[in-house]
Amino acid sequence: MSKILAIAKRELRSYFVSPLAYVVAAFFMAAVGFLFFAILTSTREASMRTLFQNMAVVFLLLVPALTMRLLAEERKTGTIELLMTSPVTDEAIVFGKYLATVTYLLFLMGLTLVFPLSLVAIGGKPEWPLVWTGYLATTLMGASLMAIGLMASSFTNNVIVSALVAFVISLIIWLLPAIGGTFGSPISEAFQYMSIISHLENMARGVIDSSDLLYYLSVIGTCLLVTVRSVNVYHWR
Amino acid sequence: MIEVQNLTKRYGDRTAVSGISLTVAKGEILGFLGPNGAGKSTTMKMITGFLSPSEGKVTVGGYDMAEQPLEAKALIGYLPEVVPLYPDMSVSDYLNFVASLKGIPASEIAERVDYVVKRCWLEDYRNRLISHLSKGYRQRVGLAQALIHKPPVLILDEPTSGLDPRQINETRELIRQLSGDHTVILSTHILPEVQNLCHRVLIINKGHEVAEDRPENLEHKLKGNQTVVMEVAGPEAGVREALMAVPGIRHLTITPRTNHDAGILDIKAETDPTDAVRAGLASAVVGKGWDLLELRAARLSLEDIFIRLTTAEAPVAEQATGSALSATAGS
Ligand SMILES: Nc1ncnc2c1ncn2[C@@H]1O[C@H](COP(=O)(O)OP(=O)(O)OP(=O)(O)O)[C@@H](O)[C@H]1O
Ligand SMILES: [Mg+2]
Repeated sequence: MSKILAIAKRELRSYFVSPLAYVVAAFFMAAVGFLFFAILTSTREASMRTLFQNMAVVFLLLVPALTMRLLAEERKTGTIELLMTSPVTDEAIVFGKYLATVTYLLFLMGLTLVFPLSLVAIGGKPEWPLVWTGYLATTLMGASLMAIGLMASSFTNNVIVSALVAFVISLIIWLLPAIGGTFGSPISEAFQYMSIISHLENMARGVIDSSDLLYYLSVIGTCLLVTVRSVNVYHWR
Repeated sequence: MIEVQNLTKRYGDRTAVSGISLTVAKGEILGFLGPNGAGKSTTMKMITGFLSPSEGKVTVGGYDMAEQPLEAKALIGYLPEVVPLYPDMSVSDYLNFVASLKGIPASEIAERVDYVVKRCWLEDYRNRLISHLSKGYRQRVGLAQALIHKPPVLILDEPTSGLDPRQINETRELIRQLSGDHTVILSTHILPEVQNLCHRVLIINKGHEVAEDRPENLEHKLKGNQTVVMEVAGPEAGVREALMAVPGIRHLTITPRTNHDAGILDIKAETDPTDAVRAGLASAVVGKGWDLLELRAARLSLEDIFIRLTTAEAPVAEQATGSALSATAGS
């Protein structure tokens, strides 16, 4: 356990000593903030729900940049050799990395609290239960995208390829309902269920359905398992 | 302490390491010697559990690397060929990280970091960013991370590469001191390193073990002949014919010079270890009226042995290999 934390800590500090963490945070806040105030001024209605959807779109673009280096760079520079010859399991390496990205995600989500709080400041009354389910859903969705990105990063030792693979996989499961719409109804429904965004929409309505939670947890679980397998294969190359 | 049986690694259809077996006892230093691409690093990667062998078995301190990798890895300090450093960390942050990765209790980390920083001459560099270090200093940080958890086994892939001469000596001295309670395998291209540091040498060529013995024994085994170095001005074919006719000669290498020295031949002759052969060589040249510019007996160095063992065409190599393999190495 302390080894997982050590890996996570090292990863997090490497985020924060490079400009990347700040650039991403700044871009994220600027994009989300801009959309938030655009909505606020045009509709005169403080819709947190639209805000969450906006955050999700921004995640789609930003997460690959945050996850691309995780394993790809360790393989490229050879530091993976240090990790894999230390008394730690491949699972611990993967979980440590994942823990770091999720911590960064929580940091980003924490920053966005200024938006509901600014509503309060100007005398608005956000519907707090809706806000919290929205936060839960957006965080789960971000965490799913992070798991996809980590998995993509394990497939290659090229960070650019890693980012592209992450983006393409995320985009495909994002667009599944649109793709499914061209088929008949059972397939279309299945695709709807597999889409990463439809669950966010459900939860942002304020309903926590176990099938939505299960969806995100199984995306995360599957990606982490595939990543562990993929790291395991490094021993055999 | 380290037991390797029939280790083989195949990359696709090319075999990088083929059937290497070795045993290293506690406190012993074993040197891997071999030309580029021989399979030294690949063998070390399998011993440390980074690569899984295609065939064969590695046991470290009684733990099978395939069955109990965590227990086995905990015993090993490893300096890979490419030093695994995070350029965005300072030396002490990096060593702290490696310490927790190796499972050192938090309360002991500071003390261990202090110790290896001193041991590897990094006191003035603790707070330097690794990306700002020179190659030699990176190598020292690599050595420091290998030592941090007091591992009973050290696997060092070219530990002195990139160091200046003084550091090379100090590092060798360090390895020698450590060997008391550590078991060491190191790889190198530098022959004196093997000669004055290793208790035993394993020469690898093209993935195969070609010899294994104490350095002095390897030298001794090939003492049965002498190498004569000559410089002669004369026609290559004629000189070859004349010299091969001298009794006691075994093998001849003639390299004609080019450019303004054209016409002069550099000759290396393997002969029986007698003075009579040298006298015979001299009179063979002078008798034909060619100029004998130089003639001397060269001492057979480990370098010659190495080159011969790893050069397939030299007939002496097979002889030496045969006897080296049949001799059981002192452990
Ligand atoms: N990932 C790989 N895929 C395919 N072949 C490889 C791979 N890694 C190493 N090889 C091959 O295996 C052989 C052994 O390489 P290795 O690095 O073990 O040699 P070495 O003895 O350490 O050489 P050097 O003295 O140059 O460090 C080489 O022929 C090399 O090309
Ligand atoms: Mg090598």
